[in-house]
Amino acid sequence: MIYTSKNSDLSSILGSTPDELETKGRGSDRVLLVSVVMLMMIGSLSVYSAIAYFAQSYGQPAGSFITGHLIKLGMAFVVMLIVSKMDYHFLARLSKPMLLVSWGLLIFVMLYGETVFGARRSLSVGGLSFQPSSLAAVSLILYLSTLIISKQEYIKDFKRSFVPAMVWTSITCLLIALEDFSSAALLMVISMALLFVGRMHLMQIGVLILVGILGAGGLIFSSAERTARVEQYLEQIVTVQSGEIAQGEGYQSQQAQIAIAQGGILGVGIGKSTQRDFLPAPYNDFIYAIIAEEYGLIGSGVVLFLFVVILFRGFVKIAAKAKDQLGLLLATGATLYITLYGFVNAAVAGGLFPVTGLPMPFVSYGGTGMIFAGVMTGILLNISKGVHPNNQPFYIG
Amino acid sequence: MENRASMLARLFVLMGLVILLPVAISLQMVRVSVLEGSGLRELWSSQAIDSIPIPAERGAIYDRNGKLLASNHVRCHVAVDPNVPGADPARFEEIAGILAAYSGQDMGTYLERIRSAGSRSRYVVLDRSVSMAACDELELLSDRSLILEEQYKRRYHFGNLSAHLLGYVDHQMSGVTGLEAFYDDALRGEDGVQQVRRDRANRIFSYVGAPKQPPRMGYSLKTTIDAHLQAVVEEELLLGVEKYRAESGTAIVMEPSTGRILAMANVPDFHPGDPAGAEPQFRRNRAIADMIEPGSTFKLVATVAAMEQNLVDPDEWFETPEDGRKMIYGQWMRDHDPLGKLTFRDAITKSSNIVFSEVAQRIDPDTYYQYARNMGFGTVTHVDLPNEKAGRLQKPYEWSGVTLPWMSIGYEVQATPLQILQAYAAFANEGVMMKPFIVEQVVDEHGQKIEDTVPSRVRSIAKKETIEKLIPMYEAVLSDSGTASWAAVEGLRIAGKTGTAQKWVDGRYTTRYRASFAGFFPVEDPLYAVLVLLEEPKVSYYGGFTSGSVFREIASRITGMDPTVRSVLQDAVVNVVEDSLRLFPNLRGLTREEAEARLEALGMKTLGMQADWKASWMANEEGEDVVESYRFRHFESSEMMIMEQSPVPGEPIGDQRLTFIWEPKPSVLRGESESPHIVVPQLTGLSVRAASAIAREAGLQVALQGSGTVVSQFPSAGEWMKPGRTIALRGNRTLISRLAGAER
Repeated sequence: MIYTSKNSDLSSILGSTPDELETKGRGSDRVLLVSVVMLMMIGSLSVYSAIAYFAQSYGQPAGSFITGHLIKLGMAFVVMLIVSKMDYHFLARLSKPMLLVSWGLLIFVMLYGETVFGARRSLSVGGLSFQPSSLAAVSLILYLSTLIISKQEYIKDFKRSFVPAMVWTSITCLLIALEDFSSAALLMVISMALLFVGRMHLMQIGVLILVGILGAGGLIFSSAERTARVEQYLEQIVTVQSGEIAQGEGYQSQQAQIAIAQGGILGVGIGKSTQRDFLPAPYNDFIYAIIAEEYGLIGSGVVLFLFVVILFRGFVKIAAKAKDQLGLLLATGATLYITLYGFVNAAVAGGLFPVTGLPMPFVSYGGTGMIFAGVMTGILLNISKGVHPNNQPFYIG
Repeated sequence: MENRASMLARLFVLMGLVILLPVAISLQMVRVSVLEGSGLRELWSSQAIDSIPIPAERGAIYDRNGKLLASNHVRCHVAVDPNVPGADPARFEEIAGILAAYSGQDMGTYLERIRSAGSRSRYVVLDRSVSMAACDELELLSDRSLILEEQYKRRYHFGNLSAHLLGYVDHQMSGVTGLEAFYDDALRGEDGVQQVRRDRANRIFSYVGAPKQPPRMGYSLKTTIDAHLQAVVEEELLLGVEKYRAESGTAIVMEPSTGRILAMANVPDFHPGDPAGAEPQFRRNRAIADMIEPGSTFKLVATVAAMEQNLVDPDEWFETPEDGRKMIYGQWMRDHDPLGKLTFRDAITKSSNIVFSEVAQRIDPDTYYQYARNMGFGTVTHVDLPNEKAGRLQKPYEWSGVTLPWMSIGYEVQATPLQILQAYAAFANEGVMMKPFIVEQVVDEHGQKIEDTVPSRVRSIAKKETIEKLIPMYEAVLSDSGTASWAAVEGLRIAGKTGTAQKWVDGRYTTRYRASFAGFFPVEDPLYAVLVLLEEPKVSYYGGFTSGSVFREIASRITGMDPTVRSVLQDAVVNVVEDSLRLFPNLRGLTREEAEARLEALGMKTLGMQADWKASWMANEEGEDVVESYRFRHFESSEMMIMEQSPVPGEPIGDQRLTFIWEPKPSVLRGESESPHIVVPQLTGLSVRAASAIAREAGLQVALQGSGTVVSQFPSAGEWMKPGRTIALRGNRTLISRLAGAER
């Protein structure tokens, strides 16, 4: 028993042994697996095309970059398989120390990390760069779910439930937000979703959202860069800027929209993107724009649809049918982690969201985020194996 | 379980919220792609599509027989970007090594250029013009820092030949002077346009299927210049300048009946491919840009005026002072020697200044002025060359008392050499003055005529009868008693006049002289009008001796070249020529050593052979049929071969020099490349024989159609061919046998 008196309820939740659970198991979710693999394949093609210009200007063959991407994909896939074999209760037990370690790493990176595109986010270990914010996000989702489930009996209690949950969440998000505002904001949204699904008091959540909005406003106006982004965003959301080539803030968004317009319905063809020459980080932040350019509305629609499939499988087939409440909440968090990143990335490319620099899971050029998306998928797959004993069939539409 | 139900309920509410995102994204994608697509796509075109010019090739310049005088070749412009990502400084040495091997420059100079460039420099020019072979070798390095550009460069096929006429171009291939400048608009052509892709850093890529508008090649000029004749004139002029130690010389040959300029030469000259290598005053075309006091050649004006106005009879007697000088309004006028009592006819023959000043004073100033004006003085000839000067002819109200007598003998008046010749050509052409011109035709790249020059009559300078009376007097100038006996060619009837003018320097006349001779032949039906002018000859200031001798050399060689002139030679001379019956051998396509060997094999000994550009040889010992010397004019290195010779093979050997026009050997043309491909040399404009020789030497088979001068070739110049492949050449003449065999 790792956890002591304070979280006595936790032990009862985590009590059941893995053996016991697997007897009632079903197969892991194949539709989810296939969707992820398809995203990986589309992503590899697009990254290969998008990276060409970047590689060329550094005098290296595009092959060397795409190899790195494929290695990351492989690692993410292997991690996913490994995690899918691990009982999520075991991970839940590990989540608290993992979160604490990630805090330490976040602070370390803030002080000594490498600067990438103006922000100090990553840590280089033996040639592989590593962003602790992803680890922190995954750990928080795991731990927050565990925490919420352990406090179900008095979940509406402000002091005993809301405050501890918020302490963990706020500290994590704050640490991340100092260097990566968008990731932190997204994690905050996921956390609130978890509080919501975890039966937290609606009033408390409402107040929290209000506070969150105020806090976000404060953060936005504390940085000129962010303010400019938001101003630009508000302008572009109302009208598509197609009068002249935008300079400064609007440039990236507009270039992405040009890519989408170039693609039309059928796209310009595999590897024929020209906007990759104009978009910054077309292989990462704007991969969705490249997909839209090369494969048209059809291609971008397929990618979006795959994320919707993941959302449906994660919520309807996995979370709703999870064998226990921890499974339900964890599956919700994991699904949100994968799909919200995907949706936000797509929304940025479409000019619907301000430029955030968030990758599209399984599609964008490999990074730490991809590995943790693999972890999350592994958790989902693992949860999908169990079936709730009193499973009430619940279907939507 | 109530908890779970509540959780599930909230889960689906959450899903309902989340699903709004992909719905919104889908709508936005459709909005951007379809509804707002066209505006954005236009933006794409504006930023990603650009068009770059495809340079048009400059038109060529041909002589009257279709020989190429100026064309272009493709050279390589080499630069490096030392700061391109992935640039390897170690490669620079390799690049410099290759360039050094082809250009002959020191490797260090190239490396120094890179070193001395600024640390942020992204464009360092290493060499503006290296051969394409060097370019190909550099290409093989596939070094990212290399920036190779193909460029057209002007190529002057005969080196210095007719440099002043052709002019030259600047580094942007725009004509600066000469025909290159005068016809710049025609020669230039129209650049084509190619659509290219542009990236964020403004780098340009061409892409497959890019729309393009091909360039239109500049129009070519077919000139009236005869390259053989031009070479002969330049050579004789140079010899004269050297022999008489003159400062410079000018010679012009014109066809009196049409105004065609057949040759126009100035010495010293320059290489139009390297104009900076010559001093500016030597690049000036003195024939049209120098205003000089003509001296006695100008007596033509007074002669014509006085004769036509019946103010003098050819046989009227004049008395000149015993000491050969006379005071006119306080200035001494002298004859070169005391001439005593003589007729007006003799005054022309012996060029008496005193008699002429007397006769001139009988002419009404306005009438005299009108005659001078009619003969083209004081106005430009409108020859098709830039920077032509009008000369200076004072109007009668500007005259002083001494102006008329002095002007009658060619002082107090300024004229260009071409104006003087134009007047004599009009004299030769029964008094009808023709406008001189150089470009006969402007043609497009397919040889289609764009513009045609029709010989145009300016005006009549005198009645035909007057001219007919005057010609014998001017013919007598070349008689033994005349001032220009040195200009006479045995058997050939020539009319002409010497001119010896004291040069006006720093406000006074000096003992420096300008010697000139203007004449035309054959008198029976004048085909050539020639002016020779030497500035400050040191050996003798008599125009008759110096310029007259140069005139004689030119006239005699023209006689050797032109059968029409030979046909009117006096019988005795024809017989001498016919007797010899030795014919010039064909030396075309040979190098200097080979040519010497061939001549020697024919029993013609080479005498006084020198290592440099001059050498002379004589015929075998017993023969009087003298081929005096041959010269390596335009002979730039041992890597040259004879492209043309004058006289042409098969002509009887007479009293003529043998002149060669040299051409780089084909191996030189292709840059001594060891590459398995050959750059096809430009063969159009060459004789079929020379073209075949060049093609064969380059390792190509030749498929011939027709004879004469090559008018088309396939593949065209500058393309790559494997050795052993066949190049098709078409001559401008069709063989008679072929005509006979043709069905229709």
